[in-house]
This record gives sequence, C-alpha cells and structure tokens, in this order.
Amino acid sequence: MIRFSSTPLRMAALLTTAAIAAGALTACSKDDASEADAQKLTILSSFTTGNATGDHLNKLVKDFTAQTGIQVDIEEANTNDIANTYEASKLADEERDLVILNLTPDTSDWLPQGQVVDVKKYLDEWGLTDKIVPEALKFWTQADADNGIAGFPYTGFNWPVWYNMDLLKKAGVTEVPATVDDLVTAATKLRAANIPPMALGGAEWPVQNFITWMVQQYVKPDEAQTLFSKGGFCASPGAVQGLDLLGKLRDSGVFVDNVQGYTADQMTSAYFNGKAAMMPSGSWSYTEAPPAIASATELGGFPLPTGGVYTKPTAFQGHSNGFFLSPNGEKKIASVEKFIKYMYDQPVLQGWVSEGSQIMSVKNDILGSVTSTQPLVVKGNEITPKVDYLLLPDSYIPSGTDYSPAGSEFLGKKGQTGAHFCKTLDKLYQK
Amino acid sequence: MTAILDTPVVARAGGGRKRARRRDRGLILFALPSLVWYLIFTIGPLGAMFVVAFMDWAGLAAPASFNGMENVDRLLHDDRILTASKNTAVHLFVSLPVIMVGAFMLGYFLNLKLPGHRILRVIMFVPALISLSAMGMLFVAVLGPTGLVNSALDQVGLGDHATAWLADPTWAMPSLILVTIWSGLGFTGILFAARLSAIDGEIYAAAELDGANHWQKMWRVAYPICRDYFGVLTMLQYLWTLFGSAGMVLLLTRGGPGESTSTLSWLVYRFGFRSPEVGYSQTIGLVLFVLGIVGLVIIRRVFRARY
Repeated sequence: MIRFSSTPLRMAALLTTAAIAAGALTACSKDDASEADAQKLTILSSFTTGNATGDHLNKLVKDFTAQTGIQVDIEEANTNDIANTYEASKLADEERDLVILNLTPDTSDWLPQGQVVDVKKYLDEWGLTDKIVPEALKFWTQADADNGIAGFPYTGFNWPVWYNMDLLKKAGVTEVPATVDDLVTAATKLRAANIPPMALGGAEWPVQNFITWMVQQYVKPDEAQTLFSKGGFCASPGAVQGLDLLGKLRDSGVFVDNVQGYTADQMTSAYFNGKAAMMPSGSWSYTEAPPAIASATELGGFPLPTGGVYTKPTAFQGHSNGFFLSPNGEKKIASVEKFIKYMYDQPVLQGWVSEGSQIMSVKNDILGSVTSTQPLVVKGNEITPKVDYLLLPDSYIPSGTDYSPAGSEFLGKKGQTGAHFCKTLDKLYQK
Repeated sequence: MTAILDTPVVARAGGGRKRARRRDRGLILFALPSLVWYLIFTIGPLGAMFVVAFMDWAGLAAPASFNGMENVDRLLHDDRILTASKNTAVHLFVSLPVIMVGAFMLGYFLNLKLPGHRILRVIMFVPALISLSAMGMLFVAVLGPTGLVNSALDQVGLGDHATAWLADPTWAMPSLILVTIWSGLGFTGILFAARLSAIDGEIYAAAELDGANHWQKMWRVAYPICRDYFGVLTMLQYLWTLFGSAGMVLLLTRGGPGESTSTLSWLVYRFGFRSPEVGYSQTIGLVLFVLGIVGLVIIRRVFRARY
C-alpha cells in the first residue's frame, strides 16, 4: 500500500486522481454528446420574447420540435449586441448553429471572413432558390465573397413615411404632401396649429438612413452604390444637392424642435403619442402602433423634390433579415435542413404574415393568399404601386461607418450647407 | 556511575528555517492559482496590447499581420485623435477636481453626523448602485428633447432655453461631465467619510480652541492628515474617468454631435468593435496606457504625505 505521509504529496495524488476521473468521464460521454448534439439546434435570435416576432418564433419552434423531435434552444440578444455576441462565441468555436439577424454593415464581413457558411448550395439542393424573391437573393449575394450567399433570406420590410391624417387635417392639410414644397407648407400649417411636424431619430440610425434617403433624391442607384461604399459625396453634385435638401427641411421647420437629440425610440414614441404628425419609419413598428394612431395613419413615400431623379414619392424596402448558418450548424446539416425547410413551408410562411405581421421574402405564389389582421401591415403592402423604391444602403456602407453623429450635428446647425456637410461625410470614409 | 553522553543532544541548527520553508511552500501553493489567473487574464492582455498595437487586424476573426509603425504614423496624423485628446483633457480636468473637492467636503459634512446624515449617506450611495446602462437610459430621458430638464424649463417660462442637451455641440460635453460628476461624487464622498471618521475628535477640539472654523478644520486639519488617502482616491477617479468614459459616451452620445464628445477611450471602443480595426484600436490604447501611468505618477507625487 502506498502511504503518503506529507501534505503536498497527498494534494498531488488527489488532484491527479480527479484529473484522470474527469478525463475518463469526458471520454465516455463524448460519443453520446455528438449524437445528442445532432438532435438539438441552437439559435441566436434578434427576435425577442414580448414582441410579435419573438413570440411567434417560440410558438413555431415548439411545433417543429413536436413534429421532428429535434430540440431547439434559442438565445435572444439585443440587435445592437448580437453581432458581437456571435463573433465572440465564434472565436471560441462555441457559436450557435443559426443566427436570426439582418445583413447590415455589422454582419456583412461574416461571409468573407468565414464566420458563416455560404448557403448557396443548400438553397439549390433544398429547392429554396426558386421560392425566394430575386431581389432578396441579390441582396444576400456578396461579391466580396465570390458571390456566395450569406444566409437564407426570410423576412423583409418596407420603410415609408407615416402621415397622421387626423393631425394633418386638424392643421388644414387635407392630403398627403406630394412635393417637398407641399411638405414645407404642411409643416408651416402644423406649427401654426401647435402640432410638431415630422419626428426623426436625429441622434441615432434613423438619421443615417434619412441622409441616404435625401441623397438618393438626386442620385441614381449605380452612383448611390459607389457613394455609400466609398464616399466621395463632395465630388457628386447630386449628393450635395441631396444634402442641401436635408438642410432646407431643417431650416424650414419641417422637423420637430431639437430633432438632433431624438433617439429612434423617442421618435416613435412622439409619433405614437400624437406629438408628431409625420415620421419616416419601417414596418417593424406597424404592430406596436396604438389602434387610434394606426387607423389615422396613411403610409406613403417621401414627397418629390424639384429636379429629382424619381417620378414617384420614394421609400425603402428590403429583405435584410434571415438565417445565417454557422460552421457549427453545418456539422448538423441534416437537422438544419429540416428546420429551414419547415420555416419555408407555406403554412409557416402564412403564419408569419397573419400572426407575426411580417413581410416575407418569398414569391407571392409560394406565399399564397394571406392577409394580416394588422391595419398598418395591410396598408404597407399596398404602397408598392404608389412609390419608387430606393437602393437600401445597408449592404454598401462599410462596417463601422456611422453617419449618425455627423448627421446629428448637421441637424442642429441651422444654415449649414450640403457643401460643408459633404466634407464631414467624406471624412468618415478616411482610414 | 553516571552515564555520560558522548554526544550531547543539541537542537539542530536550521530546524526553524526548515519549518519556515515548508510554510512558505504551502503559502505559494495556495497563492499559485491566483497568480496564474492574474498572469493569464491581467498581465497577458496587457502584453497582448503591446503586440496588437503594431498589427493590421481588421476584426477579431479576420487575418492579422504586423505592419511596423504604420498604426503609430496614422495616429500621429489623425485629426480625430487630436480632437479626442482635447475632449479627454476637458472631461478629466473639469470633472476630476469637482468630484474630489466636492466629495471631500461632503465626506467632512457627513462626518459631523448632523441629523439626517444616515439618510444622506444612502442618497449619496444610490448612483453607485445603478448600472451603467440604467444610468444611460435615465439621462437620455432626463436630458432628451422632451425630457425632464426641458419640461422643467418650459414650466418656469424658460422654454426658449430648452435644447437637445446631448446633441447640442455646446452642451453635449458639459452634459457628459455632469453625468460623470453625478455618478462619482456621492460614492467618493462616502469613502472620504469613512476615512475621516478615523480622525480623533480631540484634534478637531484642539483646533476649535484655537478658533478654527469648519472650513479651516476641513482643509488645515483633516486634509493634511488624509492627504495620502486623498491621493489614492484621486488616482482611482482619474483612472475610472480616463478609461471608463467609453461606456457613458456609447450610451449617451456615441461621440457626437460630430466629434464633440469623442474621447480617447471612446475611440478605443469605436475602432475595436465598430469599425473594426483592432490593431489601431490598441495603438490608441497604448496612448491611454501612457497617459494613465503619467497621471498616476503625477498624482502620487502631488499628494504624497508630508510628515
């Protein structure tokens, strides 16, 4: 019998025994873990419980598990943090199998860097390529990744201008402004009636989008794509004209007072509480609008400026939300295939419209006949013939380039011109 | 016959040293896990910063390569760094004296143990209990365009002076300084009160006999006694403000409007997580590191105890 008479030797023996036991247990369980892993999918989701999307996803996941026996574990994360969360987990090779997120400047590096898998072959093999609208596939195809497809496009959005007709009529404006001059006139009448005109999240991402909105009034999509990718606003007469238009709106009192300090939430809150008559915002907010505001709202494009390149009021639409497939997820491709095919089944797609109030990135014949119970979702789907859609800048603006602080400063500086502001924007593209 | 021991029994030399060595080995064994942890998770990242600062590294998952002094050269010619340095200096040199002097006076006042001092201690400690994100939400609401401050101004007929405090180039940095002071003043005051409570009351009594008032007792009696401690808290507050401003900037202003609230700490975060240019971010981190060391040395020398 070995006798350990000294304390250090006893400690060493104890630690060694524990290490061997732990290693043995791990080795024993390894095979079981692999098999169990394949029967479980992990998802990192920007759809959060408490919102229509998160609640609906939770319901679908339960149904999927009941049908297939595959467990699904969802980790929810704030949209602002989710990209960092995924990247940190990827560094440790502990990333979740699927990520539900938008393709934006924050995530457009993922496919080129190999952080997610090119899903082109899976879209073809699983018969999904013909189900998805071509614009969505184009948006998710990345030239800087050998034209690979970054993820499975799933939901889309539209981004019009919301007009509260009750407030507009109260100020003597009977129709949605058709031109910028009409808009300025409407703003003057609204202010005379003590109604704040247009709310905008001047301190956050809405101002970035609005800048691209104004620039594109005078710049066609090809040139806009180059501008958003590489800068060069000062060298583009159309871009400077667009920035001047933004300055004109500011100086004419179209925006609410102190608009440069509004966050996106404050913008939405102002509109939902009747503290603003107009707001440029997207379909993600349709289901949150109070019923009275929803029924008073008419959705339309941004009014036409003089000399602009479009013939109808303008809005955005996009197909930027979808499923990213991680390398860990590719190891369980059989289970992923079942989940993805389930999500593209017609009843599931229709459920997202009728219950989740989403705009799907699939063709109409695939979606079939379905309507939402939400009035604004229905109105949003009806704007297409009335507007021209602009280029969505999200996949072109480089990761980390943020127009918001500069936009906020511009909105607060009365009299500053586009010729001055373009220099600030161009500086954002300097390395 | 008396038995004589040929070999006298003598206490072995070094027996106490052998026990001490065994005890030291035991102590080292117990301290080893903490030392290893400290080396890996504190010294390791610090060392890594010096390496990464000279790399071209786009993002955590992107390939990285050494690029010599390119990052340093870029930093020396980058206007954003100059602007951020000025903003950092303003942020520090306004908030630090206000917090330290104000907190010392508050600590002295608490130590007088006037009626209600316990409630005041609780109120002063509340900011320390609020997380950074909660504090961000609070002040976005208070200082927002339709927030508490503007509503109050409106109520008293000063609505014309209402502005977007966090988005006004003139007021954004003062707002940030105000939030920094709000979050640091009370907690530091509590720390001072704890130190001042250890001063013998007889010293104050003697000063009173000489005709000293509160102001004189505070600065001529209490301050010299805890000068060293004053220096320690100043160092801590200096480091918290220098390195920690990124969180507050992220939540309140994101460096804007324009670059009026962009600080060096914010740029480290911005280039590390938003751009992302991890290498350049760490080059800025080196600047912060040097400023931190220099600041600590200066504060230490200024506030060292003079007996």
